Amino acid sequence: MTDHNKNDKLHLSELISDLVSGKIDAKRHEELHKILIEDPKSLEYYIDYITTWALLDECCEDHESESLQDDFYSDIWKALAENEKNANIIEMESKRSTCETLEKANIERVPRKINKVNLTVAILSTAALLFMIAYVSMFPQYTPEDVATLSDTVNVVWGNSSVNYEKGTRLYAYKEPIRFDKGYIRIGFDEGADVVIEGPAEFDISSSSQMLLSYGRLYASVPQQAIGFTVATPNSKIIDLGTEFGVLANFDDTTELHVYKGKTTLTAKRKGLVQGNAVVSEGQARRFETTLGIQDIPLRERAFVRKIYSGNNFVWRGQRTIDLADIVGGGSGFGTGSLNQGIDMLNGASKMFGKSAELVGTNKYISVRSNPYVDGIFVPDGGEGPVIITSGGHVFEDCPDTNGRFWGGTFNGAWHEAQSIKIPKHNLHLGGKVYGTGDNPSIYAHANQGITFDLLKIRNSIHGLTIDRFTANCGISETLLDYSELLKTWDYSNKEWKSIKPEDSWVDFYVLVDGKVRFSKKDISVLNGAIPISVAIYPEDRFLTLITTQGSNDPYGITNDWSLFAEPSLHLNP
Amino acid sequence: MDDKNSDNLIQDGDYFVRQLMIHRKRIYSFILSLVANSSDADDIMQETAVLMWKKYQETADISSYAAWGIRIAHYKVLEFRRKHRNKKIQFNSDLFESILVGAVEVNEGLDRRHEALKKCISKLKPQQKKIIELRHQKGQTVKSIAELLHLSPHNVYKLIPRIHDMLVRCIHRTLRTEGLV
Repeated sequence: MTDHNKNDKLHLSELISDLVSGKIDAKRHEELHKILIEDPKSLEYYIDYITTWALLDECCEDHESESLQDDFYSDIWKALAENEKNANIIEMESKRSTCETLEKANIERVPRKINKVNLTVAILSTAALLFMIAYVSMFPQYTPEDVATLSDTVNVVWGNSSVNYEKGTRLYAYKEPIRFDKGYIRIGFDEGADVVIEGPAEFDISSSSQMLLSYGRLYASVPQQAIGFTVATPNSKIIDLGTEFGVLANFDDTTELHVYKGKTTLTAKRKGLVQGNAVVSEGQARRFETTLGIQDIPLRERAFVRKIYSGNNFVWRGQRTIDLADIVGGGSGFGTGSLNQGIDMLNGASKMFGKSAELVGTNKYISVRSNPYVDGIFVPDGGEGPVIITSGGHVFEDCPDTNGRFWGGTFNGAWHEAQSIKIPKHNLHLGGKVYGTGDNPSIYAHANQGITFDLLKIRNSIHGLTIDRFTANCGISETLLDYSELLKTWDYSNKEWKSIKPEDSWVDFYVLVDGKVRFSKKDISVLNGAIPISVAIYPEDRFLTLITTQGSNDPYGITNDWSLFAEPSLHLNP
Repeated sequence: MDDKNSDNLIQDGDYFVRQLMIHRKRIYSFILSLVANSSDADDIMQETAVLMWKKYQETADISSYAAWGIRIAHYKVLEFRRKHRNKKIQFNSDLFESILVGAVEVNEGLDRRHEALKKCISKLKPQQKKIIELRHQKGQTVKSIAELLHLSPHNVYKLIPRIHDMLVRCIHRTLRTEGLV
């Protein structure tokens, strides 16, 4: 070892010695901290040094110094003497009677030997008893500490039928494992971390900032004050460094870690020994398997449930948009609605659409009670002045004059059929995509129709998420071109069918918020293709209204106005 | 496996305390590595012992007292860190985790280190042995050691880490010689 290295080691040993003695100041602590962080060899030395110190502190009974053994046994003898004061008389009497019995039985006495093992055990027993008495009297009885709260549950089926944890139950560290076979639970740790667990799962709470996930999936949101929150699985440990992350512990002892925000450390273990470490940052994911070690894997955005709310069985997997077509279909906006389900424009009732026809509207705003997120529907006709478009009394001032007729209704889907002119039922196209499917949702709103969504109720259903934009593509279905030779319109004057070109069908598209137009495109034909809509939504906005009207192409009215709002989405800002 | 139901047992309490005494140095060494302060380590060791006793009564079978005790000690150390977060200077989470990993590894071979330490202590000069005895077994302060040995406190302050360093290096050499490192 060079002089320089030797001096460094001595300096390091002085720092460590001061630390252990409690004599180190902040500046030297920082110096030591820096050395240990930056130099793995110094860290190894630190651990060796501290371990040696601990062994020196603890090895009194094994140390060869006679004085040490004397001290140890003198303590034991004192304890024994103390015990003798209280127990002697009874024992002596017992022994006396035993001796008398032995004498009477004429049993040959053997020389009394002091059995060292028995003596040692007796000494230890007495010491042990006094030791425990001392501990129990000096320290308060340990009571399990409650360290977290079961904040919410959705559709949970507990693993043990005798267990029924309710919302608000306090959870204790180091109690029995908690298991559930289905559903979702949310736990708020006292240190601040919030965890959503998806069943089937089993876990233990270790402390107000640590848990063990034996199997299952969890998503942890850890605020700044709770940095250090730790999730252990059977073969790994994940420590949060200020983040949101998901952990999947499989039955086959593999663990996956997906980091959505911030970063974590992942320590992989096998039989308690560390196999590897990794720092996993935002946008990254790792999988640990005992035989293969730590591997990079793609991050899965929807793998974990991040938020739940029992009030409306809300379960959110991190989706960034709410699908308004799904809402029209009776869903939550997250894929729970039904295709081809919509709203009857004549009475506001929920309805499955299988056939359609031209109908005449009531020229009134109809509140919709069948759908919690749709405020109302109407057939826009501005011929007699501004049209009411919300339950709050907002009006569409410049609503165009229409014939008050519409085709079919507003529903989750995109198909059209016109038996009278032999146009078969088919899915509509826009921008080259086929709509009215699970992958490509749309609201079919053949002119003249309007629907108003209640943004307040939608916000209330998504608990803490904010909406900042509405987007969609609007236009007339390109299938109009496929059926161009079949397109006809009824000439009311001459009472006959007349052929009509696809491009002669026009539609106006409007998006209003609280009665104010934020988007409009007029006289759109099939030749305009898909027109993008992007409208900002502000926290104070209450009603979002989508409207199609027949365009100014008289006398065709609503003929072939196969208009749709494709991929209508409210964008979330978590 | 430690056999709780051995015929040699007198009472559960006796057995527990005996096991605690046998494994105490491993648990204490683990705690000291993480908190790096003798006084705090003593407190945490006591709390760990109390919790171990409480948990012992609820636990049907313990395959390894040392591992079980260390798990409970780890919990107690984390609790300590949280309670004293704003009162005491602490290592940050990264460093703590690195130390934890190292401490667990070293703890596995603690008995061999202990044997090596005994040999190394026997090689110390008498005054060095005395300083170690007074510091660690008697718990004497630097000042009182200096008075007892007629040395200046500054000299004793400098000597203690040097002696420790000698022992650390000697232990390493001993373990290497025996093929254990």
